[in-house]
Amino acid sequence: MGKSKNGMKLLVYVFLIFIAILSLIPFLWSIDSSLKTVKYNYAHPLSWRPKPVAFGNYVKIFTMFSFGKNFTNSLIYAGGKTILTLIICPPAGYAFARKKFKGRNVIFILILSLMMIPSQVLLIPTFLILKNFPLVGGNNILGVGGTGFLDTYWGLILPTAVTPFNIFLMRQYFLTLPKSIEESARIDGASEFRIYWQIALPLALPALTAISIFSFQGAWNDFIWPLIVLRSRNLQPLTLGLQVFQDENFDLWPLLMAATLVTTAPMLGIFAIFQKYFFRGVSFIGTSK
Amino acid sequence: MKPKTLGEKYSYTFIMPALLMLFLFVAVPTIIAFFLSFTDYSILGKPRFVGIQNYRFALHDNVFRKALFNTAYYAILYVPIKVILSFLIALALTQSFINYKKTFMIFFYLPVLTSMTASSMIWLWIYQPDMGILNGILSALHLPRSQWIYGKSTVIPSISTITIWKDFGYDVVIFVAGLSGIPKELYDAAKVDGAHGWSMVKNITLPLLKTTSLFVIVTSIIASFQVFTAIYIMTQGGPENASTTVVHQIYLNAFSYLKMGRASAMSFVLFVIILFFSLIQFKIIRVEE
Repeated sequence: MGKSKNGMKLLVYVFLIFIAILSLIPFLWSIDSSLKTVKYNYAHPLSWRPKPVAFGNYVKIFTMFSFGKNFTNSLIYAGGKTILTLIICPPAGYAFARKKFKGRNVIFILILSLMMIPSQVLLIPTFLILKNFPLVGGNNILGVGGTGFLDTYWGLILPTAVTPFNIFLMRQYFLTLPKSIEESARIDGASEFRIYWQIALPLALPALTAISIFSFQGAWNDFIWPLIVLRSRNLQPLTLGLQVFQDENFDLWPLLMAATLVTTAPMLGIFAIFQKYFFRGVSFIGTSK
Repeated sequence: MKPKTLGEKYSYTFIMPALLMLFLFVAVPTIIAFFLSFTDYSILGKPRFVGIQNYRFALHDNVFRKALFNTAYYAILYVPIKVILSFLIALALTQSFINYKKTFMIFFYLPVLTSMTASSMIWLWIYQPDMGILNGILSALHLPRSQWIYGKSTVIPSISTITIWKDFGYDVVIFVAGLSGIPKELYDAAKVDGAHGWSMVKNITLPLLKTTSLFVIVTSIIASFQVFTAIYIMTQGGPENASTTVVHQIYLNAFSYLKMGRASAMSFVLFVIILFFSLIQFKIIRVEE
């Protein structure tokens, strides 16, 4: 009995370690490749030992693509979207969870049904709405004459900032808080806004962190929306900026790998700090359905 | 009476910004897309009504049919492999004798954090036919080399390998949360009754994990029908349309061929497919509740 139990333990560990290696190997291999000179990589593409170790690649890439500019653009897109989400979604979720008002359930079900619309249906019309947005980007009041929000940060941020899903998640979280928390404040005569702002919102920190992380990550890693909305190179986020390496000569693998890893690093940094919230957030999504 | 109406008024203020954004960037675009799908529209000029011609075209066009087939093929590989693998990993991780559970989960989650763009770059290098590590390994083992993403029959399996690698960690976190929610006493009681190993998984774990599994399966199916970024970056739908997908066709028709009406019709075909799976999920969850 004990022997078979140990055998079982060993088997489970071997399985997990094998999967862990599979998850990590593409990264390890790209790190390794990123440290080879282009010439050495061409001659010895399969060697795991870069000779000489070309740390210089990590300097060279900054002259090839405007990492700083791309990085700032990613930050503005992801940060802007997250801030807008945090301003708009939690109060809506709060009202749907904690308040009674006419049409509440009907409106909420309508919002939920919007969740079923795939974002690809929205690509073309949203592009047209941005292009014809009145009074911006050279447009007149009828939305004609200019390019509207196309090729601007707002064009990236506005259409993706508010999702039915984030409102739903906030509502589910506020539902779990006990009713009593607002009541004493209400008896003390606090205004509805103060109750929300000073009492309910601080208690919802875990849910707020979750929607922030996923909004940020979604925008940081987004590809298709910037691809459609942006024309100018100097507005491109990292995901689009990386493509310059594809336009170039394809033997530059070590440089492409270095650039790829550099674009991935910020997200890993955020994960290192907020790791607990990432896992909690995903678990929350999986169990609140 | 008065305070109540005041509260109601506040409630509408809480939800108004969210409603406005969802109206402008989800509801209105959906309606526009629906109208466009019955027109011939190239951005320049006015939409011209063409009836159901776009839908007829989409369902008879060889390339779009190929795209539907490729997408379904991709889904058939991606969904079951990823879901079963994630479930087994989560099951292994939640065994009481496992140490370093967190560490394993962090390793599995690293690909999830990486953008699809960066993942595609890394795998372009891994799949590179002449210098890539995979063909290098095959050669070293005296096995025939593969064309991977450049071969007509290998491209879809190669792409799904990447996305399974990239996404499974997310499902692992959800399954671990689901499995941790199952009371330990149930297993202890079953053990007293002489149950062990797979019979416990079959009779306790799987039935209690039904909602979680359903959530993971349906969201995976929906995601698989939306595959785009990897295709756009790695193959552009090639070779010879062997990897073009529904969303890739929507993108090409809308933004390369400027056939916005036709692309809208294609996006509604996608909508119907996704709606079908969303409704299954809603229905089963309703029944559970």
